[in-house]
Amino acid sequence: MLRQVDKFLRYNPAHRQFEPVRWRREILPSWLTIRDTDSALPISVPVSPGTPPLTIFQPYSSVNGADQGFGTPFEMRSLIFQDDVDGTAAANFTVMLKEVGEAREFMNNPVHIRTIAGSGQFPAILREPYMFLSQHNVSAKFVKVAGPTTQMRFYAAGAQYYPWSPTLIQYPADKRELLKLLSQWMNRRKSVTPFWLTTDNVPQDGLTPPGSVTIPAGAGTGKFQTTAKIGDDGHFEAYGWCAVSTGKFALDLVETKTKQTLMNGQVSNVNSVGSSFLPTLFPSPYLIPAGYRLRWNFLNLTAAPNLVFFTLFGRKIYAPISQVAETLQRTAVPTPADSPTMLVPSPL
Amino acid sequence: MPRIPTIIDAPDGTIRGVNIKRLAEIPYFLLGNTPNNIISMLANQSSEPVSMSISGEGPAQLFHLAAERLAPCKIMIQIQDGQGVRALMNKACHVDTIFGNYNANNRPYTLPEALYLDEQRQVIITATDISGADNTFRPSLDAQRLLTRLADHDLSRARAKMEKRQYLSLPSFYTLDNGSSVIAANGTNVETITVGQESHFDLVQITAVSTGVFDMEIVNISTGESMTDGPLAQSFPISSNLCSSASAGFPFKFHEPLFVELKSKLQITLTDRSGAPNTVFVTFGGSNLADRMWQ
Repeated sequence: MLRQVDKFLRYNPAHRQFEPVRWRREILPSWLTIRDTDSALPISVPVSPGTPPLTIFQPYSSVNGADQGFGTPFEMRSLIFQDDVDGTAAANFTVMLKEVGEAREFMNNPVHIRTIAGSGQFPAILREPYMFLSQHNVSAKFVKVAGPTTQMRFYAAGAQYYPWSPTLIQYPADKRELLKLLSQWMNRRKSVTPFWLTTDNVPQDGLTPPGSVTIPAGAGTGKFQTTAKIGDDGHFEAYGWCAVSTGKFALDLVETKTKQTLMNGQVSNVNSVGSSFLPTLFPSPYLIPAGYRLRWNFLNLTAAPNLVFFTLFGRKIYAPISQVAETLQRTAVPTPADSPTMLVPSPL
Repeated sequence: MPRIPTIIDAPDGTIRGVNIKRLAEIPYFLLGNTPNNIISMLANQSSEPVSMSISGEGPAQLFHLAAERLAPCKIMIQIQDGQGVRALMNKACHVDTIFGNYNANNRPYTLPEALYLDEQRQVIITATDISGADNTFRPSLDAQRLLTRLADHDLSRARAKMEKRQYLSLPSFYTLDNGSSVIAANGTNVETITVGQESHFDLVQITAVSTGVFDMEIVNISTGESMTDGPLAQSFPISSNLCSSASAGFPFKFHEPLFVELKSKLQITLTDRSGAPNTVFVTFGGSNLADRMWQ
């Protein structure tokens, strides 16, 4: 009987030796970026209308059809970027990601890059990884908020699966394990995707990016109210939030249907809002049912007008809310969503 | 309380549904009761005690302490449950040792264990200025709220367990019995921390604020054990920047907790290495473990 020692190693008593879990050795660390036919790196990001939609494409590869139809999928676990002109810590552009083939939105409006992607040191880890199938595209559109064109590099980091690896030919049991996991992923990805929620606000000036808000001038007096609707298609589970702003602000957040507030006053951004590098992680994820609406009440704490990009990050779940008895079951496909939320998650 | 999974899936990965119990848990930010979101104090004086109350929607568990401040101040935190007041610390602690925030890649301070607060209970904060100028302080406590609007047997049972547990174990802080220590240039001060009469203390993390670098040696006077060396070896102090963090967002966490029995004394020997007078604030974070149930 083979005994699992850890994720990558098991003990074989028949041979009295440790041996690798071979199917796991066929999941390799990997990065994926914009398709080279769309743009060379670094990518030039001008102000509105920004870049054309660029494609992140996962190619197909296999050997003699040994991939069993799965190709070479890529599990996107984190997002990272580097801004060569403005500097990564001061980057000032938005990004809109969209699944092309399945027409799934990953966000309700463009979000600021510093609320969705991190750096090499502090990658923005997706609570729900996205399984990028071979031959699938995600379109990415980048728009500089203000100032001259910048040059940047954007990557999805994660793991590439090689179900067709010739190494697995002599280990059929390991190959079955890998195919089983991929099959579970194929089912899971139909109902769960990463998602970022920002405001539904569309500024009327035609210049300020949609999703952002400008709180009128006045420290302690400038106020702005805006909302965002969770789509009717699925529930949104937020694991935390982050924001980028030109000054200090305070906010309160209310779910308009139940009138549930998340605070008993207005909380300042210094106390409550991180960035994608060190985001605010909720002690408990916030599940917001489909069709519900969040309302932000912003208060400016600086004298000048305050441009704020506010993003909740988490996952969208396309399944009914139901009464079930299971409370301690383990999911078929473990993801960072299962780890305690107080802790900074790490890639699996 | 174990995490309630959101997704209910089948062995083949198919998502069968979303757990309705998850609608009873929300993140929550607990602030001072209106109009005391911001706590003000005069130079070298204490503020009025400010209440932060949990409403009747359901209990909460506090996990993180965050604060925005204009200048250094000392903070005292108490919990009031309507019948009695329980202090979370032996003396007022320096704000930078127990409150973080999101400024400059910092993080809020993570409590050594969650603090359970039943409905209608309050956390009371008193702040004292030590900067010598009028001061303001804006605290925010990150919590998990357990809403009672969803009637559920499992959730009620979990809440009942948490309610009982608070009388056995409570997050707490110990600072020097003198509050702070002013060490002469290159001098040495011997300070103590006296553990309370009713609870043992499980020490898990340490933070310190000082005007310069210093060495620290911690000895449990009751047992003679030093934290810096084994019991038989000659003990050597450890540098403050190697055994503590000046940022509450990232406290130094011990690899093993140090159990200190009630009524024990810790002797803290502080030696200045900066060559200038050094004001030191040290805060030990951990849990008070009840010797007996008092309710």
